[in-house]
Amino acid sequence: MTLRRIAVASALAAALAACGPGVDMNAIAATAVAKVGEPAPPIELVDSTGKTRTLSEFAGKTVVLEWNNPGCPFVKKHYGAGNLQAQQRDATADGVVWLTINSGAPGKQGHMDGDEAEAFRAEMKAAPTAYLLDPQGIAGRAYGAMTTPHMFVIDPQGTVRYAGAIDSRPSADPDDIPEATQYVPQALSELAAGKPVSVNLTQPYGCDVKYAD
Amino acid sequence: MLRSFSAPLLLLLCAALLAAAGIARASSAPVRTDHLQSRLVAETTAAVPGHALTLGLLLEHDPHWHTYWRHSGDSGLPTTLALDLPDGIDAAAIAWPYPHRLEIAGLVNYAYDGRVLLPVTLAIPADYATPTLPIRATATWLVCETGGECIPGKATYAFELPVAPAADTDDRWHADFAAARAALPRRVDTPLAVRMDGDALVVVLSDAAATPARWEWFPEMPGVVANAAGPQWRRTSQGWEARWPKSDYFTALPADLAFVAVDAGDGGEPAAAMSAWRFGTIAGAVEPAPAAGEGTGGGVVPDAVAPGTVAPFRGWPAAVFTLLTLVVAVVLVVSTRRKNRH
Repeated sequence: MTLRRIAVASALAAALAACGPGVDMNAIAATAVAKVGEPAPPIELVDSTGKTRTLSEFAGKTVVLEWNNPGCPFVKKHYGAGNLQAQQRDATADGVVWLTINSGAPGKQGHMDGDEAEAFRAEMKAAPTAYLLDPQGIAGRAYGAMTTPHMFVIDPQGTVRYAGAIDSRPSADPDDIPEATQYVPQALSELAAGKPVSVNLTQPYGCDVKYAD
Repeated sequence: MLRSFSAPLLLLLCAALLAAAGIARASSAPVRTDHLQSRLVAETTAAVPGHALTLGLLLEHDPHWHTYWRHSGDSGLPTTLALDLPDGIDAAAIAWPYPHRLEIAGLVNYAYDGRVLLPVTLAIPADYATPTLPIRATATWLVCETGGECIPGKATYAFELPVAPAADTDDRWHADFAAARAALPRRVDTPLAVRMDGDALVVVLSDAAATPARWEWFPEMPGVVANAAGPQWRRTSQGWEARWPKSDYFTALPADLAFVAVDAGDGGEPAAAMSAWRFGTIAGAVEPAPAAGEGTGGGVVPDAVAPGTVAPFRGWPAAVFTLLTLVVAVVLVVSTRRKNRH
């Protein structure tokens, strides 16, 4: 709760500074998210093995964030076809850190505890660096994660370089994957080549993140 | 035994069977999928050459389950309908009834629940001479439980509609088509002027008699405004102006941006008497009108000028738009430079 209060407070300050007089609560809610080109909000969460993980422990490395809900058909689309696992393996083989995050609240569809997350990881042959549990939605709210999946890429300096959809075909149909542009691998290869990220902001698609009410 | 039937009785029986089959054929059978029953129906009992024919995708949701509008909001997927029709018959896009705003834990969706019909209109050519019109269609959707599970759905429908010189309304769906028509936004001839100003979309409605502050506003496409926020209207000397926080996924103003506004009346709940409008937009820098009430929080330089992002203001030639866009761009650049000098 404290972290969330700090996030809200800093967002409030940023919104006030940016908007001047006439700022309202809606505007604050809309600005309380990770922004491309700006520092990535800090993350401190327990992973599926019970270990506390922070974003700062990966300073100097490129980090991918993937919002996950194993019961969501859009997540199933990409895991069922092996698309997410392939992206995870390719990225981590190149030294990129891949953090899968579950912001589902307890009692909500798709919420998982550590054991369930480990079972999911084994069943899917998923290859993230860690599976982080965010039952209070603290990281989800800090990043403005709206959907599962919802992807972010953070560069070694800690700047958000991509935010948005997993690919260019908003659908639940795995047959659409081969034709779609996969935004995260594209951003990672451009970053690795020292190029600007050509597509760095896209509308995410998927199920809504099942935050606590 | 068939032989024991008299010939006239047999004829009568055949006629009755044919008539029954004819009626049964004038809509697809209902398809039951997860938490949804769907069917494709025709508004009339026959297709009439030289006239429009309206079909409808009739969706009946289980309680607490919903499907989505043309813009699903922060999550979800719009319903799609692909029609397979004989050559020469064209179908328009779905004419979307206005949706309901569904807010769950700070995320907003634009959705339908209960029983709703999504109409599509076909133009039947005057020379269409075949005795029946075969209609095949595939619909896809995402059906979600409020605050819970989502399940993608798909169904195909097929039926044949008789072709006749005249047709009656099919009483079975009359109320569904009427409800859909009542919920179709009426097109407003005067577009909204829109421009980006810092972190917000500024929307200008040049109609002093309008009451936009009490309407519910729906952006027709994602990636423009923050769904969880709404437009904050204030009076100006010429009408109304709103700031609407932009979407976190805003990249550029789409040329065909439009908004649907719904006047829920005094009750709040959608009622038969409510009105809905569809506003096109025209991108440009309308000179900020002096506020009638509080002062403006101005001083923010427009951060993006997108030449070519002009709204579908039907009836104007493209050249006028191009010229207008250029003028707007020049005005913006000049005003930006002036502001920067201060």
